[in-house]
Amino acid sequence: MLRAAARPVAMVLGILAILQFFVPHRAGRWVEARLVDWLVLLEAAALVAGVMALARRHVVRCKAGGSDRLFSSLTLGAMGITLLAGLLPGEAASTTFDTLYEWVLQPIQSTMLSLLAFYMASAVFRSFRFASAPATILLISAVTVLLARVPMGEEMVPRISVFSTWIIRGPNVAATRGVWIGIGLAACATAFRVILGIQGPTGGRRS
Amino acid sequence: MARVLVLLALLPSLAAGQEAVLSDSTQSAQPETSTVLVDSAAVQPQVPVPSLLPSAVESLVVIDAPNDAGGAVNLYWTLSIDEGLGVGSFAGYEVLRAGSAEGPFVSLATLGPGTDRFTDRSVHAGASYYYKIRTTSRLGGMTDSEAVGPVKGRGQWFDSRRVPVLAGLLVILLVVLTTRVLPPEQEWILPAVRTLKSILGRKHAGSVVFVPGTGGVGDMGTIASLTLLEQVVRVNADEGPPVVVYTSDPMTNALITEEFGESDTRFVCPDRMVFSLAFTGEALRQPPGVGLLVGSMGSEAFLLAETLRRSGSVAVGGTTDVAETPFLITSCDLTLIGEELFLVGPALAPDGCRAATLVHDRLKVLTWILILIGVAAAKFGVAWYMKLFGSGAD
Repeated sequence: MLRAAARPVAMVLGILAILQFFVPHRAGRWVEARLVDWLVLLEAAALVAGVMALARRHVVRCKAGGSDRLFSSLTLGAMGITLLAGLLPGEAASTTFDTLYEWVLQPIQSTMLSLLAFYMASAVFRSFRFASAPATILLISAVTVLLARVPMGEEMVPRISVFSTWIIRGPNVAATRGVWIGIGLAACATAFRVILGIQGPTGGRRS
Repeated sequence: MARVLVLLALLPSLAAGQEAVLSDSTQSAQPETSTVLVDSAAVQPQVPVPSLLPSAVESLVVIDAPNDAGGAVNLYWTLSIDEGLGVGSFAGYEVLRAGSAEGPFVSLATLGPGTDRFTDRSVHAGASYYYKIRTTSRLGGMTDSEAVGPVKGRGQWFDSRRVPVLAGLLVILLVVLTTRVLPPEQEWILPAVRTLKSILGRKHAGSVVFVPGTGGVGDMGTIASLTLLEQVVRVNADEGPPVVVYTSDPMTNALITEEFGESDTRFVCPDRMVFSLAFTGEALRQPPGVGLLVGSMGSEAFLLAETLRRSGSVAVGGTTDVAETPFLITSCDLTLIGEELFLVGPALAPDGCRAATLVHDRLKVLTWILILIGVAAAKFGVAWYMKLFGSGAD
């Protein structure tokens, strides 16, 4: 019942969101601001629900035992410590919460980002091993662009930067725009199908 | 003292036998002659002489700015005659505004020579304003134009610059509404759909892991991934392995939990790198049979794809971030490129959602026609056609 009632509401709000793009009047901005307000409220409630689901899952895993107990215990402990740190008083930038962010979260983010470099190297090597025509074109393009970016490249192959610029501004831009046009058309059509109820928000045809 | 300085500044002109007009620099709003052309055979050619009082601008027009919320007013004027004559002492223009014709006028902006328009974006919708343009001289003189007004900023209900966008949307809507389901023998299936069907149809040792991107629920990539998720769950519902969904966005998590239940939906963390770390740990400890990474993702898409590859899983990737697509191609067994991301979900559906692929084909044909006309328009300099495709935004 609630779900059936939600669909017309979603449809009206979707149409309103499209219309406000064409309405410069303050009323249009007002509608947009209210929609954003509701979105923020829903997101806050969804975050609480998500954290509760996360905690519940790890509590179940701790109770069940097994090899995952250690990781689940660590997750629950980290959640508890972060929650306590957030509740402790202190000035901005000197709180325990900020210290945790700076000394725990940021190193984690940096570590994962640094992994990218290693993964890229191995993925590129793997790609170039295939002796197919696309891989060969990719190899030639990559080497050209890389060489053009260093002073040594121009010394080795005169005017390589001209060819590199052509690759970046020509085939690269053309391919990217082609993909974007396809994404844009498909996104518009999908949006209309969802808003009009032809296709549900999680797929499938709604009768 | 000021007059002495001005006289010193004018000495070269006076020494050349030219006549300058000196006036009180404080008086204004009188369109006085600011340059004197000496009609003398001794001075050839005629040279404009700098004056303390520059000539006022004429034809000041003030109108409400179109296509806005009422917070802007446009001003247009003809350039001061001093600019046309090339008087070296001409400094520029100053825009003045007041709430009544009597003033007091306050300065809004100082503009250089050659400027003949200004948009005042600091007006309150519905309030009345009067404007003057003050011409200034480097010698200290200034002349105000007549006050023009009242003008009110009014909000418009339709942005006329966006008519082409509206027309485009209506065409897409028309195609969506008029496209019917094709008979099965006439269906055209995307190659990616065939590959995906074969991947999902195989017997796998582990579970099917689905990541609907790391973007918000409002991202089109997320919407596309949710469409695919429903079909993946449907295909695996009878005898396939369980589908485990890892989410990073709370709203997406709530939507998936609502549709598919909490037991197989795992909210991890909104932070993309922490999400990648948690996913990497789980995937390496319990390698999935198939991993689908589909949705709005940045560099973390490559991290997740490489993790799946290292864990020996079959990886299917697809992201709306075009820059990340090449990385997915190197890591995934199947990569959904561009519109495939939006079409595989409906194409896998057992019913009429497959019409989505036909909608897209028709739209692509229309786009090709528009592009070809655009190439011809660019070749023959038809500017209005190319202007049609602006977004209308400032």
